[in-house]
Amino acid sequence: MSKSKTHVFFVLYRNELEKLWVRRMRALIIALLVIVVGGTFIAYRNYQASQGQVQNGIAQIKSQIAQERSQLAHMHNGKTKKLLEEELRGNQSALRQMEQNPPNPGTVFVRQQLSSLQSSVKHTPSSQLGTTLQQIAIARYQLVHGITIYHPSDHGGYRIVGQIFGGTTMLLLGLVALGLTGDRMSSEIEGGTVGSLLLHAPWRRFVYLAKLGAALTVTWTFMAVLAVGFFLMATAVMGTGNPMNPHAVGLRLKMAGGEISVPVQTFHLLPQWSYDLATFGLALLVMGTFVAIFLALSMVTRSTVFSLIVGAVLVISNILGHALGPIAIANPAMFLPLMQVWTGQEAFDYQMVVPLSAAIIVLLIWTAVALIAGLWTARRLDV
Amino acid sequence: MNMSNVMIDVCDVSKRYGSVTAVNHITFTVNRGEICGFLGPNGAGKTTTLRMLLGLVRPSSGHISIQGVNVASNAPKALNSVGAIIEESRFYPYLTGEQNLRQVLRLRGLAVSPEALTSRLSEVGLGTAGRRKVKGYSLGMRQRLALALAMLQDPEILVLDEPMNGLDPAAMRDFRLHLLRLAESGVTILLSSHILSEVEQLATRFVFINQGQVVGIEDRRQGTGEKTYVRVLESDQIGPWFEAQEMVAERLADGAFLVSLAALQAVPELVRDMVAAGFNVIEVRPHQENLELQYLERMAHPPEVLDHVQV
Repeated sequence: MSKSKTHVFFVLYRNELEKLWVRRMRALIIALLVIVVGGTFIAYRNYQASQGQVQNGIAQIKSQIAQERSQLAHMHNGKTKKLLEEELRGNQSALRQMEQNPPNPGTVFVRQQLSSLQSSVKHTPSSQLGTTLQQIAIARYQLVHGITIYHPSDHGGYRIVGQIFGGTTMLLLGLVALGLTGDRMSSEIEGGTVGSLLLHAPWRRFVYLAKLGAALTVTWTFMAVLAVGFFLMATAVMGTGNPMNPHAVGLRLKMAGGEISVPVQTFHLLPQWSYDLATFGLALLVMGTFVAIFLALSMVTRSTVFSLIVGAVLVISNILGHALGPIAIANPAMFLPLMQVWTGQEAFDYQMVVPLSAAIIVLLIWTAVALIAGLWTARRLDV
Repeated sequence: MNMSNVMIDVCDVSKRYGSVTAVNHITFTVNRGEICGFLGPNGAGKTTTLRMLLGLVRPSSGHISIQGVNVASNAPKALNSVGAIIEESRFYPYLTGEQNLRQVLRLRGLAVSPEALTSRLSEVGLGTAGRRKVKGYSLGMRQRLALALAMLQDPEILVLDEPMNGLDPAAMRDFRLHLLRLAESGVTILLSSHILSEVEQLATRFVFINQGQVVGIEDRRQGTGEKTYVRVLESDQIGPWFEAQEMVAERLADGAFLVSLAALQAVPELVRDMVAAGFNVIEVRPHQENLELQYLERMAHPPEVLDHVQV
C-alpha cells in the first residue's frame, strides 16, 4: 500500500468516525445510560431480594428459637427436652452464622463443602464424577485463595462485568451494534452521498473498510465504556465483590445418552477479574463478527430498512437456541454470549456440545464471508 | 486536433441495465480549455454518461479516458485532477456545511483550519451559513456548497451536471462568469444543463445526445465562414445579385440573407463587392444557428414546434 493510499484510508476512517459520532452520539449516550442504570438497577433488585430472603430466614429462625424456648420452659427433664435443647442450640448457631454473614442466601462454607464432597466422591456415579471433581477443585482453589465463605450469587462490581458480557445482555449489545452499523452503506446509497464520497475517494474497498473500522471502533469503545460504567455503578451500589471468586471454564463436555456429561478433570479455573477480562475479550470478538455481518447486509441489500430487519432477526434468533436443530451451530447468534460456550452453560441450556474453538471458527467463517460479500458488492457498486 | 489536447475521450461507450440500454455506443471528445455543452432531454443518458466518466458507474462496453488514463482501470489517477458537481448534489444532512467541506478537504489533503474553511465558504457566498447543518440549506445553498467542493485543488477538468439548478439569476451570472474565467485559464469544462440560454453563452462546442446516442456535435469555434448573415437596405435587389455572382444565398424572414462562403477570409471580399455594386450594407456577421432550434431539430421535434423558434 503506497503512502498516499494509507493516508486516504486513515482520512476515510476519521471521516467515518466523525459521521458516526455526530449522527449517533445522542442515541449512544442514552443507550449507555439506560443499559448501565437499568442493568445495575436489576442487579440491585436481585441483591435486595436476596437480602430480604436472608432477613426472612433470620426472622423465621428467631421465631422458631422463641417457640422452642417457650416449649422448654414448660417441659420437664427427659429425652424429648434434651432433643429440643439440642435443636435450639443448632438454631442459635445457625442464627449467629447468618447474622455474621449477611447478605446472600445459600452461603457456602467452603471447608464443610469440601469435606462433604470428598466423602461423597466414592459413592458418586461415574456419569456425575466429573461434576463432583470439578466442585472439589473449585473448593480447593477457594481455600488456597483464602475464600472460606462463598456466595454463589455474589453481587458487586467485578461479577456484574462478567455477567453483562457473558449473558443475555449481549443480545442488547448486538442490537446496539446493528443500530451503529446497519445503515452505514445503505444510508449513503439511499441518500445519494455515496456519489460525492466516491468522487473524492475513488477507492471503494477503502471506503468499505474505513466504515468497518469506524463501526468497530465505536462499538468496541461503547462496550469498554459500558464495562467501566457497570463496574462503577455496581461498586457504588453493592460493593466490588470478591475479585478472586473462581469460575470453571474450558469444560470438555460430552453427550452421552442424550445428556450432557462432564468428563473428569477437563477444565480451568479463572479468578473473577481474569474471567471478566476473558469474557470482555470474547464479547469483542463476537461483536466484531456481527459488525462485519451488519455492514455486509447494509452493502448487499442497499436498503436500511431491510438490513435492520434482517440484522435484528439474526440477533434475536439467539433465543431460538436449540429449536433450530443441528443448524444452530452455524447460527452466529448462538455464540453471542460466547463465554457461556466456554463455561459449558450453553451446552446445558441448549443440550448441544460446542467447543469454544468450534464457536470461534464459526464466527471467523461468518466474518470472512461477510467481508468478501461486502467488498465484492462495493467493488461492483454503480451509483 | 492534436491528441495531447484531448482531455476527455469517450470511445464507443455503452451502458445496459438488464434489457434497457441507457447509453448506446457514444463517442465524443472534449479538448483542453474547452467548454463543452452536453445536451439532451431527460432520460437521454446524460447523467449516466457523466457518472461513467466520473467512475461512479461501470460501462458495459467501450472505454473512457481522462488525460489518457482509463477511468475504469485507474479511477484514482484519472480523476485526480477532476472536479465535479453531479446531479442533485447530496451532502450529509446531519453535518454542517463546514463539516461536509472538511471531510473532502481532508481527503484531498488540503488545509482544514477554520480560516481555510471560512475562506472557501465565503468564496461561494455561504459565509456563516457554513456553521449550520446542511439539512436546513436551500437548493441554491447546496449548489453553492457543491461548487466549493468542485473547485477544490484547482481542477484541470470540471464535469458539471446541472450545476445551475436552484441558483438565482445573480448567482447564475456569477457562476457563468466564474466558468468563463476558468476556461480562459485553461480549465476544461464539460457542462450538462437544461438551461440552454446559459449553456449557449458559455460553451464553444456542443454534444447532443438523445435516446442514449450522440445525435450531433457542433463546434462553434471552427469559423469556416460557411454561412454569413448579410443585411442590406436593398433587400429585394440583392437576391438576383447573389445569383449573378453564382453565390448560394438563402433569404430569411427578416429580409436578410444567409450566404454560403468557402472560408472566413471570403467575407471582406464579399463586403467590398457589395459596396462596389452600390448596396448599402447594414449588417454582416458570422451566422450561428439558435441553440434552441438546433437542439429541437436534433431531438427530432416536429416542424410545427420548430416554426415557433426564432432563428
